[in-house]
Amino acid sequence: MSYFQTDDYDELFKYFFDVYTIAFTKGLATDEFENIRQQIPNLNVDHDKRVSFFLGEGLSLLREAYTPNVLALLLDHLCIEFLGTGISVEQLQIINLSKYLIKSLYAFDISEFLFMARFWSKQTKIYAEEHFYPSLPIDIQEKYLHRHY
Amino acid sequence: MRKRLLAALLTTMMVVSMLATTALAVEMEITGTSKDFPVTVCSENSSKSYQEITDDDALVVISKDADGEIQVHQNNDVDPRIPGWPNWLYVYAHNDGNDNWSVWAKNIGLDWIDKVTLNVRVYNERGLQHSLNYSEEGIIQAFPRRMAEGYTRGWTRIEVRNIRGFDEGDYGTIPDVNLYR
Repeated sequence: MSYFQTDDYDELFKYFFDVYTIAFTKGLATDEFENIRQQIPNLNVDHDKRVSFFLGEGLSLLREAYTPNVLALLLDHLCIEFLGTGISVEQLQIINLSKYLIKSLYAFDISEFLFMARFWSKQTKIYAEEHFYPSLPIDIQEKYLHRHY
Repeated sequence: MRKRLLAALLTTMMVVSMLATTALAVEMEITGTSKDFPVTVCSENSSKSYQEITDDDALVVISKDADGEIQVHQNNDVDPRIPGWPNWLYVYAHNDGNDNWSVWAKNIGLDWIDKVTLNVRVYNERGLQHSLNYSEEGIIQAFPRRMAEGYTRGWTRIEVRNIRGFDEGDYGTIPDVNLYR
């Protein structure tokens, strides 16, 4: 069974490439992060913008300096709001992945994200090699990607 | 105002010990006054010393006698609204040993402080991760008020900026407070 192998997931991962890059090089409390937070991709399954809503609200929670447990609680709270609203399984799956990526970002543990490369499509892997990895801090590139300059 | 006056009178004894603590423990810069009703606020990064109150018109005057003993004089004839009635504000950041942090304001003056506002910026090795504004009202004497608390993974520096103490429609500011790890 293959996970996360659709165009929507490709777009979502690319979006998080940019989000992680800004968080790890500029910070969450910067204009750059706010700009990238608002550039939410248009996903085919997100016809009623519930995924967009979750991404926008979920990422904005990162600025509030909540503890990880409180952040997880609030992200779950956002998800529960969608129950009974006719949200599709595909949307919920993307929201679930987004929640995981947001929590990993807040822990500033990029290894969690990099380990997900096994789920990336070929195009996404190439995009990461060309755009995401080179934009990460040097120490992360050396430690996790074995890129030495 | 009456409530504040009562609070000041009832806590007179507490004030005496508080002032002693203040004089001994805090080296502060006294800045940020206004024309009519000063709010004097202090931070931990200052160099000037504690300022003694000698205003004859004040409702409660605290002074030292020739033997160095602290004396409290009460004047019941004056209006409760006290020109020059001083407040002191002490702000500090706290680290609990992990990635949690907090910022506290302590009223070490003689009167309530109407409101305290400040901005907290938290950095880790990856950059500026949090910049948040906080406001608390009705800061009573002696008991520290938790102004802000948060979590920043691997934080390295906390800056408390734009610290303002408001009272009687006026305000004073104090220098930034920084905490490093």
